[in-house]
Amino acid sequence: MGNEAKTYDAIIVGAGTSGSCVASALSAAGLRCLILEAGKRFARDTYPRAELDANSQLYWGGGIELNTDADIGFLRARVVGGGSIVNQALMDRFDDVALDSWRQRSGVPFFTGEAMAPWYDKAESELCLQYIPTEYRNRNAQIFAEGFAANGYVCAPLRRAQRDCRFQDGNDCIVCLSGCPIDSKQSMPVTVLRRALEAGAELRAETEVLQVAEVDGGVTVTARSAGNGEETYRAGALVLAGGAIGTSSLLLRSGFAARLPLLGRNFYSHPQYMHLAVYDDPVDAHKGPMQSLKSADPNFRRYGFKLENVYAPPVAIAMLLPGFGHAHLERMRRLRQFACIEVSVRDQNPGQVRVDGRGQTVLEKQLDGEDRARRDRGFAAVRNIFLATGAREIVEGSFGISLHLMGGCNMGTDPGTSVVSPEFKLHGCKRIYATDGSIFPDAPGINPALTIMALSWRAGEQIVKDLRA
Amino acid sequence: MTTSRWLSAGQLRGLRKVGDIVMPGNDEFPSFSQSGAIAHVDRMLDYVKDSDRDGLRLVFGLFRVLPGPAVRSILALSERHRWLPGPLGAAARQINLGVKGVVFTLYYSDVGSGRSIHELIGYDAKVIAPAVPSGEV
Repeated sequence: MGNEAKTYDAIIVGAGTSGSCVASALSAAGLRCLILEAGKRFARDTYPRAELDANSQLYWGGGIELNTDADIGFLRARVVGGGSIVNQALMDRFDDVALDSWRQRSGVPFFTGEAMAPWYDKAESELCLQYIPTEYRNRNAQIFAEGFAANGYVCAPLRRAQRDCRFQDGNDCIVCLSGCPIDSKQSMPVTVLRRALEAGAELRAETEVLQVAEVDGGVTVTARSAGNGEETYRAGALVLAGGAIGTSSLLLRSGFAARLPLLGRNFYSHPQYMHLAVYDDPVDAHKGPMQSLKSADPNFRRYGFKLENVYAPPVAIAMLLPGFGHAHLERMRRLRQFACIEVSVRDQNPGQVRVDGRGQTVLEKQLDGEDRARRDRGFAAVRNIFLATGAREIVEGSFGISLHLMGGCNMGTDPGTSVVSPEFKLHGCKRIYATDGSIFPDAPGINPALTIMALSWRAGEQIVKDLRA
Repeated sequence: MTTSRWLSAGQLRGLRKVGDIVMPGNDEFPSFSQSGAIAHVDRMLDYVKDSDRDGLRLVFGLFRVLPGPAVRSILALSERHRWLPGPLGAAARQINLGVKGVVFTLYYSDVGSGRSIHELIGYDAKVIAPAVPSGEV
């Protein structure tokens, strides 16, 4: 084990959305930052292109991690840029429904639209945000819109972080689920993280943090690198930005459970269920913009679910279809005829991130009766949409997929009911901060990326103030 | 002859056997073993968690010695996971997801030899990238 101690003003664990924003804020203030990231660092011409390699190299667990019941799969990015590399860059502000719930649950006064507005402004100013032009909507989106209209539902365009997808060239956004080859998608490595590195932040990829501790006058971080074995780093502050599962499990492995009894609890994930429908003619849901519309129906919001037009590459579609053998192959032959709509559940039954005796992360997460009711109301709406638009067969998704990983270190004013203070510090710690989706008090039912950015910018300002005090 | 850092020759035979049940092929589509995709199994197993890899080795080793109809029956039973109680259902799902995950990932990633699987199913997603390599970050 290397013993050379290196000192920074701050060490940031995770080079995803949150870590990039905090690093940018601290570096711009002249602070020396080290960012440690377990995943690899790719560029637009080096992202893995085969679905096999993308799943293996861009996610923890070789592609997917399962809950203890094996009925929900968690997609957790493991790559420089984090979720911003593998998501569809959907950027929405939270509404009053989400923020009111957070404020009531946490007691944190700045969870209001007005107080969050400057931080949303800041987050949005770092990205190019666009809506998909109507003329480029693919047939899957048209079915979505037609089905909504036929049923009297309300839908709306999705806002994406993208600069120039060049749809006129026939580009297909589904490719960018494993990293955008033309840097149109406004991922962290081409936006915020790039500016952090230009301002002097240091990035170490393929370096997994094993243990963290608060010591007199600072923090220590023990990490294992691909080539250098274990090393210990020192800093004046530690910022945990490894995502809900990463941050929670790292703190659990580092022995913080005794002082933070709620650590790992209140874990949410917006379980998503993809439904396929077979049409007579090709839909080609994989062509052009993969996602361009979402539900905006106040009843859906009230009932606790939302819908999006979505699709996935062949391996993922094969996994969603039931059965095997000739019957399965016959369905895959009709891949071009599938339309797809996703039900995303605003889950209200929290799960728990645990660490077992061998240090392995364990994810306990189930839907309760209310969650299942929300999911089933979503199913019913999808059925209505497909049946109104001429679907020949509907294949209902039975396997939950979770990409919005939130909670585990929920923010609140009361140490008895939360893990992180409104100043983004772990309760009882002076120098350890958490800034990522782990601090969410509950599931908002809205894509979390923009809010993670907004909160991280706010946290960055707080940390700069603290370090200069 | 396919070799693997993670699977023994017997475990590879078990994977090939169950692969041809999951993906038997027809006049148009190659079977799993005909596709040649099994040669790329380490590209995924290199990144799988130790515990998951151990589970797959166990299952493929078992499938190697079981007759084909028995393997098919286990797979068929695993498809009925929703009707199995508690831990039995979870175990059935893990077997189902694990086996189909390996077979479908190899087959539909289109990494094998011979005719393109993506071409056969009509999947032609692309992004036209500039010729100039990126220099960012």
